[in-house]
Amino acid sequence: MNRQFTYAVYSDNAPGLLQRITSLFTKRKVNIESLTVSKSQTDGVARYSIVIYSDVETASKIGRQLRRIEDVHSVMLVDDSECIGREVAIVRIGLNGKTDTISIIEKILNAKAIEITGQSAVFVIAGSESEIDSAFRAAKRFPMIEFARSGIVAIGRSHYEPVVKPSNDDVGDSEAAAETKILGNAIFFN
Amino acid sequence: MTQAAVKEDLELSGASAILESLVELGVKTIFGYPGGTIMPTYDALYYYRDKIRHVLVRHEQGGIHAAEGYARVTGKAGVCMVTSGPGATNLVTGIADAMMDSCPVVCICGQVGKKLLGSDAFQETDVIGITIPITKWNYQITSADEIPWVLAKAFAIAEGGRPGPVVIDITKNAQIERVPYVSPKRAFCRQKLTPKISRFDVQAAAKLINEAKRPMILAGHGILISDACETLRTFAEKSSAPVACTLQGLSCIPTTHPLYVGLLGMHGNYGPNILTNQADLLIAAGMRFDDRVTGALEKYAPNAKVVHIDIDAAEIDKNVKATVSLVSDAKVALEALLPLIETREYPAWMEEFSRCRAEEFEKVIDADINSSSEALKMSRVIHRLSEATNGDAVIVTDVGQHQMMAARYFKYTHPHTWVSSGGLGTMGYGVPAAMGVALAGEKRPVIAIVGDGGFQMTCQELGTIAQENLPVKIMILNNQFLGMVRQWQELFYEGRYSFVELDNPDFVKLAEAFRIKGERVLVATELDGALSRMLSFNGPYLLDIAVEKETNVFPMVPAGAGVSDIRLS
Repeated sequence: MNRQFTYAVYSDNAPGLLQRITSLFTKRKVNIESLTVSKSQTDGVARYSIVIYSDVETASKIGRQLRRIEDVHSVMLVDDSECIGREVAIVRIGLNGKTDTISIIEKILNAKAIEITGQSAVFVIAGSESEIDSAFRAAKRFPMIEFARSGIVAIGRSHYEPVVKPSNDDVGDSEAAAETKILGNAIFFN
Repeated sequence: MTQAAVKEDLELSGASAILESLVELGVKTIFGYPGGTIMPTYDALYYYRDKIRHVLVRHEQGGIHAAEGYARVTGKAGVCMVTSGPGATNLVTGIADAMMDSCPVVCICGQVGKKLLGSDAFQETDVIGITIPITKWNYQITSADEIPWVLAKAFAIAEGGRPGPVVIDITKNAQIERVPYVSPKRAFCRQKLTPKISRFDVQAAAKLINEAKRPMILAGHGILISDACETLRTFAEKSSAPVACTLQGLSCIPTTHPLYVGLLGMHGNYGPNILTNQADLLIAAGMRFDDRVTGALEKYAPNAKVVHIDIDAAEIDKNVKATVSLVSDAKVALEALLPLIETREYPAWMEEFSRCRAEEFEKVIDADINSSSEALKMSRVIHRLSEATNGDAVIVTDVGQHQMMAARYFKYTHPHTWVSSGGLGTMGYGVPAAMGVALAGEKRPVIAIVGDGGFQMTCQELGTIAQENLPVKIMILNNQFLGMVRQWQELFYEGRYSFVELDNPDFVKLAEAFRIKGERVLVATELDGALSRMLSFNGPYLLDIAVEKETNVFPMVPAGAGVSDIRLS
């Protein structure tokens, strides 16, 4: 049965690595619903949040293959129940000169206006995926010009410290440390 | 120049840094083909002729297969050096092959200068992008100071853990720039750690082994890679469990060993296939349950628990669920298990293997090897070769019927004497891979067994063999067909032979054109004499052996069937 899974992947911040990571999904024809890459808590280490719909077997096989990539330090795989995820959306809505609608839009979208011109205003919304979905539906009732969402950034519910090597520290054989831990509905490939 | 260059305070070109690094990393042989963007390195190579043997291949694909062959018998990474664009893309098949067969290869590809990257310059190709899915690691060097650590890391990755191919793309400017020399071993250091396996898992595995009534060891390529052949034998003898080999595990245990029960897989032996489904425990060591081994997974080993030993955690539970898994190199895991397993005997279980072997002998093998028909069977050719060499030769094959016959009928007696393209099934692998084996300084005779189809995919390497005077013996099992495809068309496509017939050139004349001695064998009576002339000849030799046109390889597990649906005819 397909359901939503989220990976948190820690890796070196190296060129080409994103393609190496996504190629594993391509290989199995699994579509990536959302992908964000950013700095992590450790200098030189990138953190990926990847959301897919898949069965648990495929998700965990891809998880192990992700972990196998050189320069990937750790992989966490969680399903919805184990995942705390948030998204940010930025939306531009046309005002047609009626600046007094701004506060109404803020209320309806649960958003905050961050830039206002005479013609339009830009709002920011942060929330769970479904909150962003409903903000999008609500925004359609206004003259919406552009709607940009970040994709999910996520963290696991369990208290777990991922193995994150500082960048360029190549002492220690990554292949030797393969260790799988399961906590609740989360799988960690360290 | 080399002497001076070792001094770390000396400035040298990126090209010299590449070669200095390769020398320091222990590289003795490079298979390569020069061209525009790698020319600075080739220019530097001119001064390293006394330290590195460069072999000029005739096509880059030949170069990488040769590097694979070299790696398979030495355990060290084979090295390829090519130019950008077509030079690099011609490596792609071999890189994919090395990835599938866990073969350590380091490919050094020239690339256009850094300033031209992305501009669609002459012979520019995104080699990093192309090779991402088929490499263990790849990296583009755009500055000379990266060279030492990147090369050191390339070799550590290619040879470490589960071995595989690495591609290093080096822009032309990085080869020309001058940098202070840094030793690669100082620039990059990766500690080799012993894999951690939990004592709990080892005990659980040992318990399963000690409780089993019908255990079976499935020995794979990992046994050879981790140098665990002796350990495997000790383990098998203590546990008395029968040992079957995967295609790439061949030669890890002598085929004459009393516990050896044969080859697994689609064209493997009858016993180890059909009895998989009666086994109550599979001890899978250094193998990955390839679909050619398991057949239909839902019908595979329904009664068996599985102890799966593999260094690659991604292989655990990928195809077959493990009851207990040990993520470790096969040697470490088997050594850990050894003191915990009890001495056993399984006479009734072994008897079943003997019964199957007798049945296979009667229905298949006897006719395959003892046929006195005038037209030679390829199985008989292999059998006679095995007798003539006493199993003491390195067999390098291409892909197809001859490969399966070589796997089935040669009596492998020493480790690393089977070299073949398994996972990718690359036609054209045989001749260049044999070249690499010969260049690795192999003392045993190196025999390339190839079909007439695959031979013609890379036969230009006869030029390399002649130029280097490599003692490669090439046996073409010539049935004027793409035999394996023809077999499938006969069995599964109602005999519609769709584009499988080959109108071949005169292979003996072809060999002679390359100044290689050649001989044709047309009838069975000529075989033994020709084999002995080939084996005693000092230098390369080609035998074009006419074999029965329409032979089928049996036993066979048809595609999509279970291992117990194995057919003997």
